[in-house]
Amino acid sequence: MNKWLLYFFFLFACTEVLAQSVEGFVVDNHQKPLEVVSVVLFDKSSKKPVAFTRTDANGNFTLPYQSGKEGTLFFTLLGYAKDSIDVQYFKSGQTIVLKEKPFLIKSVEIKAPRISQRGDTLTYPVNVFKQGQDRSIADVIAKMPGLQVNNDGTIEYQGRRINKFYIEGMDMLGSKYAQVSENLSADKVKSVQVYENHQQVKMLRGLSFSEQAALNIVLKDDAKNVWQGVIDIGAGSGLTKDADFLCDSRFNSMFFSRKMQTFSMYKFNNSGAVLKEAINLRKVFGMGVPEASNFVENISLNVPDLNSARTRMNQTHLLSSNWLFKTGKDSDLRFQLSGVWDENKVEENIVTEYTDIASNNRIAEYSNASSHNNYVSGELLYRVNSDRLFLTNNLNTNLFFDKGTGMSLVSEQKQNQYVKPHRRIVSDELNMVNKLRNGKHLKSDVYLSYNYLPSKLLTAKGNLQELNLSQFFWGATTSFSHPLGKINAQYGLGNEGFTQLIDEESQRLALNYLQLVTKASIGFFDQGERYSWNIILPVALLSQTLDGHNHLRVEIEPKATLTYKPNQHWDITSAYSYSEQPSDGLALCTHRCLSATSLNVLVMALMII
Amino acid sequence: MKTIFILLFCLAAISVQAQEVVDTVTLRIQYRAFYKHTQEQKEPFEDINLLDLGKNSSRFYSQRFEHFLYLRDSVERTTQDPMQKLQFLANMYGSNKGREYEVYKQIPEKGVLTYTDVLHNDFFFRYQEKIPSISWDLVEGDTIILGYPCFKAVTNFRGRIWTAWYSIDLPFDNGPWKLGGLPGLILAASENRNEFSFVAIGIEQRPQTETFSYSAKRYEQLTPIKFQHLLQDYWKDQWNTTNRLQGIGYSETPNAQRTFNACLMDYYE
Repeated sequence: MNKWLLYFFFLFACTEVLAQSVEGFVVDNHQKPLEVVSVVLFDKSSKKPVAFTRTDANGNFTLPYQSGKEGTLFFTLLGYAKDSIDVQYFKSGQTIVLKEKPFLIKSVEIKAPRISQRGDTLTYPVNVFKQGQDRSIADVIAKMPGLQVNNDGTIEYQGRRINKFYIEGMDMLGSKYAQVSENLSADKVKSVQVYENHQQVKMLRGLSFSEQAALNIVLKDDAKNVWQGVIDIGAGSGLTKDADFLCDSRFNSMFFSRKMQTFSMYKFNNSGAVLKEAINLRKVFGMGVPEASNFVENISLNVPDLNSARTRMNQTHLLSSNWLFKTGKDSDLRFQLSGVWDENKVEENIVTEYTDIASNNRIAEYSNASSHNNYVSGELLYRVNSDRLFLTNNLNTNLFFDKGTGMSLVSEQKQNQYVKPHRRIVSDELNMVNKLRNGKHLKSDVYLSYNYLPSKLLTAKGNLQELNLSQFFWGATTSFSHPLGKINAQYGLGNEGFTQLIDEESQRLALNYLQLVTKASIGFFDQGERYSWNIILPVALLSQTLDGHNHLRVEIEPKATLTYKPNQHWDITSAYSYSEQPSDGLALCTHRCLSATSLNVLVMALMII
Repeated sequence: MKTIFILLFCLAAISVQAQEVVDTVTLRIQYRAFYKHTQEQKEPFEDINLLDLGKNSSRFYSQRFEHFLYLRDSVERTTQDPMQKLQFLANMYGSNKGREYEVYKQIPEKGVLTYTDVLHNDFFFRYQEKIPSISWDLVEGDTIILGYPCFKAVTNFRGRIWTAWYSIDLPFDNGPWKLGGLPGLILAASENRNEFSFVAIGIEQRPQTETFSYSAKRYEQLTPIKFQHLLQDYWKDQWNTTNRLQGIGYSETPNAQRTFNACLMDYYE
């Protein structure tokens, strides 16, 4: 009886233990115990997991399990094939062997973060940086890290001027990009891309390293292929008699498509605002053609040091139109026309009293002046920028019609002032770089420019003097470079010159000056990742003729430069150059400057008369 | 003699703790997260989180915050103008900046979880605790996330009821934030008050050339309870809490300050 009782007791106990948990041992096919193997018990009918555990450091696991329930045991571990066994067939203490299997997961691409940087391109999405009060894209660009918009509209990246402003990859405005950046609404722009170290010339990409960056505006899809514009009118007047009528209005229209881009703008203002978008005629990019400068300048107005909007009495009209046509895969034609009519007036009244018992000294000065800054400029530019050829032909005209008039009254002595420094410039410039086979490059630059500067000045004695300067510049240079072993060699040949004619009407004086420089040079250069150096040996023949006298010189001016960049923060440059300063006869120099001392003295004499 | 020995031992232990721990990334999972800073907030903020699984440890962090730090460093490098820096910080508010906390599991050693956070952009804190052993109830429910069939589990963890979806095909004992302890990787998790949630939106095997590291030096050590109190104090009275952290004494709070109730992911007491 006791034996049977004991036997049943033990049987019960055993089955109880079996009903509570399942134990086992997991190893790999080298009999090494596997840790953190996931052991999951799936319910057979619902196919859902009901219990789970993990193996410990020795490969052991204990999984609580209700006997009687049907289930499947699954064993999974990263890097091994899944194994499963019906729990009924699983013997407690059994060893499971897992076979190795490479772990491949179904990848779902992880999206890049908002501001992506691929190589040298940074993309800033506009909606991240735009705030409610931002209207134009320039306001938003000012907020982007690394970018800065200056007062005159130029944009700098990391302290350096950008060298190109693209809209959808096309350069419509050249250096006058401030017009678009200040007038294009931020709502139309999807993102602003910064091309760091942008090399505009395609064939030099990879070879030449630029320190400047370029900006590219990516438009939203609904801003493309539609004519769009902004009309902005503000006008006001005081209700008192003789009140000024003030107006500040702006109209612009633009169109962006794959083959054509255009931007036109008209602005009128007489409330004192300075038109910020400098339709900046100074060429910021490239070398540019030399220009003559006036002998007289426009009248300068004495303005108190207050906000110009409070003190300027002006009337300004500005009209500009830019068109860009894509004529081929790598070529485009750009037409720009702009004009400004700007009149400023100043009135000044100064009274100085000297208090003295004996006499009554009082000096009163009254002056008024008005200055007109008017100009018209037009440009037709044809560009080809492909892997083998970089060509630009720029036909340009700038006409300035400045005028200044004034009157000053000092202690009842009246003095009239009048000056008219006009300029008319027409020029054509052709730059071409050809990439030949075997790493050879051929570069040519040709320019022609005619400047006519008629100046009028009213002298103190009441005579109106006219001084006309006409100057004709030309230049043609060719250079050829090819690799020479590990470095590169460069040969150049050029001819530059100008002729200048000054004539003064009343005195019937005329001066004629001709300067001609013929230059040949040979140079070597090399550029690596951290360093770059170049050595140039130019030989020049300079000929100067003034009023019948001729002067010939030969000049040799060797130059050498070495730059070393050990890391991102340091930049070491050393340079050597040799040049001669002439000290005899006509003190002339070979640079494009006109500094003949005798010529200057002559000019000043004409002015004083 | 004994005390010297003990001191040296302690020093050694501390220096070991201050070491950097480095691991290579084998798998990266991207989550879209929603979170709230305060209970008064109407809509939760959105964030994108990444879970980097290494050989022995893992790191859970905000992709946006990581990027914000990178951008902030590049702004620091290019400009010294405080106005530009402030403007940059002002634009990177809320969703743009990302939530600053990070969870490191099995760091600095096995079985330990390190939680780091940043308060008010300036104050870096961390605390360590044992990896919580969460007791999950496996419940009915299945779904498919990112092509992986997932099963459902529910638990009550430190004051919130979490519902998690895990996949057996990814047998990792891991998940977003501090969650884990399921037979598979947790691909989605949300809690009952709809204040915090995570959903996996991307998963990639990494080429094992990237590493992540944890350096204890940047953070000030706290305990979890102290940190909870600090967060609650901060949202109630930001002015004086930041003064206290900076070492300035109590002063009158500005009228414009509003008090909030902090919305924390886990409550210790």
